[in-house]
Amino acid sequence: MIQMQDICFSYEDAVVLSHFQMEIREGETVILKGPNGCGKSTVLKLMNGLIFPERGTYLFEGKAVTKKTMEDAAFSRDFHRKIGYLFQNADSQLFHNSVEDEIAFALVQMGKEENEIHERVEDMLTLLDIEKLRRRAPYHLSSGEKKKVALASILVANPRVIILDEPISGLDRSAQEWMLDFFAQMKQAGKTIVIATHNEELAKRLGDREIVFGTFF
Amino acid sequence: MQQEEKERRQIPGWLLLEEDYIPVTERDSFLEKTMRAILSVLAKMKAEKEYIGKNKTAPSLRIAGAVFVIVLLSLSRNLAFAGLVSVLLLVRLAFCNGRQIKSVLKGAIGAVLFSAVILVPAAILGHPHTFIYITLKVFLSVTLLGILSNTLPWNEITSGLKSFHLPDIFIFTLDLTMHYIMQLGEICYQMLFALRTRMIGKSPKKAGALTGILGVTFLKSKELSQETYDAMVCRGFDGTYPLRKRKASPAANICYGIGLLLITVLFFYLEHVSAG
Repeated sequence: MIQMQDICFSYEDAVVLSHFQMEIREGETVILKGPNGCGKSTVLKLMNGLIFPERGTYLFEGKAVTKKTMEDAAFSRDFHRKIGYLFQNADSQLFHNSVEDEIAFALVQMGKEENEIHERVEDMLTLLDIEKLRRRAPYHLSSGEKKKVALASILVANPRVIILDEPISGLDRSAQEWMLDFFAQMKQAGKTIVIATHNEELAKRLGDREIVFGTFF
Repeated sequence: MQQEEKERRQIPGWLLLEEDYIPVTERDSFLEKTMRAILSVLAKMKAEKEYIGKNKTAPSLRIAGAVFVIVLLSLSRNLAFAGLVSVLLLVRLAFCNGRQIKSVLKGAIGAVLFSAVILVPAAILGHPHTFIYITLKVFLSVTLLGILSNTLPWNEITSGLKSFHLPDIFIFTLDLTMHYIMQLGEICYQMLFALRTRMIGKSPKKAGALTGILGVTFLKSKELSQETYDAMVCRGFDGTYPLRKRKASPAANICYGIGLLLITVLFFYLEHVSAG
């Protein structure tokens, strides 16, 4: 499903990835592990087509993801629809003035009918146990609530791949437990999941496979 | 009860099926262009933040030197002096990296074009010398300031201003402004990245997402300012903002001073020659 071959990437003079290879099959849950600054977040951004490698190829469902292909509006929209990306800092993802609008954002863009939008938003609110927050402004929620809203806002588009960057960092124990159970449910549902984490418990409970990064220097 | 709750929170059927969605091919160019423009500005800001010059001369001396040379340039009536300054600037520019050269020249060329347009009547009305001379002076002054801002980090510029006995509160405000521009820029940058990953169709409310981002950034800025103030109070802030002086190399300062002295001598010599 996801193939990265011979990827090289650097920021200014700092080499982050050198001849990096990775393959993720459909339905797999893969854990990306490694110390801070080893390139995990860069790989996640590459996977999401937010940045592009200096060398090497990235194939998603057999199609190359490059700067040029991402300039094609239809390809880029389809690609982003199929990959849901949960940022480490949920604050970055939330910009609407109510939780409902935040979740509905993707569906409105997809041109879904109003009743379908309503139905899916309700499903997400129930699934993530955030019904009470529907009218609240996402900015004023707690970290755990923000994380749930951000997760709902990406799941509502029914992505095939879910990419999670440190999904349980900064959450209290009960919120962590809730998230772990939820991801296990997603895994059972056959979603392809990629998780960048330092958390051993998360890796053990959910991971089918681990990709361990080393520091380049 | 728990079982009921569990059943209620089961994954909905549509989330388990393959999505039947064909994205529209039409570009949502307004949002995309706006995002690209904002992203490129923020990327530039981020890149500038990472750069730190290796010049060992005291920042205050460099700021004073730049202002002094600009004053000499504006007073000079001799084209040879402008020529001399342009040679010196060219040599200095040669020691900059590609990004810095591009940034300096971009600003300078913009200023030259602007002044050239304003001075076109002078050239047409028979004063081509004035046209060339003033445009050259503008080019050199802006290049000089461009080199200074590209090789001197903001924190050193503000600490350099302290040497000119500017009030603490002025420097403090400048420092905090830069700090917030960077932090809020980073927040905007991350939010635009997130927005890009969620742009999976045509947005009917084109500017809605961008105003949302600006709204959150505004709220965040309020929160940040309160947090910074609280943190400063906790660390004993009492309204004064003492700056530590950077250790400058005396040799570099002396060399810089000698250079400035030579420029001054040459200025008076050339003015004397042209008057004679």
